[in-house]
Amino acid sequence: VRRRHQPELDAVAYVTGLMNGRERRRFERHLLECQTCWEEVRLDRAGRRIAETGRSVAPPELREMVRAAVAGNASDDLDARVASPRSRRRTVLLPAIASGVVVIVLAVWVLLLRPATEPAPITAALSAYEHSAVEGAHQDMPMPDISSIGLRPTGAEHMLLDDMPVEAFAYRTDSGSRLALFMRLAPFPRAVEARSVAASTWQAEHGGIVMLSGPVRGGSPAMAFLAVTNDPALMDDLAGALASGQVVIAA
Amino acid sequence: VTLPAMDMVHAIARRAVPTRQDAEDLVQETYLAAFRAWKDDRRPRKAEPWLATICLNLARSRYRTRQRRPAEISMEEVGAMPVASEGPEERALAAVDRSALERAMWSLPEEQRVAITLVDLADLSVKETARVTNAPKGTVLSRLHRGRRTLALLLASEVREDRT
Repeated sequence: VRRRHQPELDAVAYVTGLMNGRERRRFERHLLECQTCWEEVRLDRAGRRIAETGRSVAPPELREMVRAAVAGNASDDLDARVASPRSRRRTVLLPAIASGVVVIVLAVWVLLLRPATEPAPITAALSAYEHSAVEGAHQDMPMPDISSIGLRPTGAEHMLLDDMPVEAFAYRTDSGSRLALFMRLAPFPRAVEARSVAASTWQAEHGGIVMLSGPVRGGSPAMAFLAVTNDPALMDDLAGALASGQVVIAA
Repeated sequence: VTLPAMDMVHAIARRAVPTRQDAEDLVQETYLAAFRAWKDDRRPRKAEPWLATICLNLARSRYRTRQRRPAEISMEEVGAMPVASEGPEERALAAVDRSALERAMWSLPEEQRVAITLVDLADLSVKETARVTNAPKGTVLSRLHRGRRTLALLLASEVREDRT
């Protein structure tokens, strides 16, 4: 099937990182012989970099103003709910109670809405998994065998997670669940909501995708792996197999 | 206590309404509306696209009728902007005049300016941007590309001049 030639859409998808590994490689081959697409990529990339120079932080005084406004709004709401005090004592206590509740409400709100700013390599790993970006057949190290929990290899690549070089391996079960395994010579940065499950080993979840990171046996002492899948049961299987020694991720 | 995604909401507000004062009012109204919605049990799975949607809806409903003019940029604000420090490309980009960039952004059609703001400045994904702007993903990509291309054509000469 011949794809339509869409220089604008292909250029923006390429520069924005929306292509998977196969699409990217095919488009890069096409770029070598298509001046129109090359020009669109050049302009898109330049425009993106120019736009990104407009990044700025919100002024501190604006933060204070908004925080005070939200706190005042919460306080007004509470005052309305507990209007008509029945005793002097309650009237005296009301401002204190209101202040306390406002602080608690704000704290809970902020906690629940806290943006999940994962370290860039973790975000890149999640993105690579979501876009099935590990598709090549290149291997700088032996692909770990995790067939004992039903995972067969589907791809291997040397790639960058943000600026972090890693060896990436892709696996799939017969039922279609996917798992990506990344390995590098040093520990991976911890995900925002990582919880330790063993020595140098953590698990985390982000947007329905689960991660497990821990040390690799053999090779450099600091060498580590990061496993990523959207199938929690599969991750449980992997964690259990690693803990029992049924599966060994080794260099 | 830090309010969530304040830099992102501020970035969107600065490109959604024409003056800095309007933008600050819009940021405040966005968080008040979000807080009211949150109290009414209308809670999002992810804060950033939700806050972006509230901010843009408020901008459209409350500020659309006002006269549009280029954003004002104070010297303090210019000083607070991050400046790249490594490599010739970064130095060249850092030299792009901030007010020229804002003027160029405001010269773009609104849909292109919003697409660039959400993807390149607010770090929303294209999928999230499509949801926030209620537009198909292909339309978002087209707007993003045309906006970026215009910025490049308008401002690339400044980058090139700095390189020489």
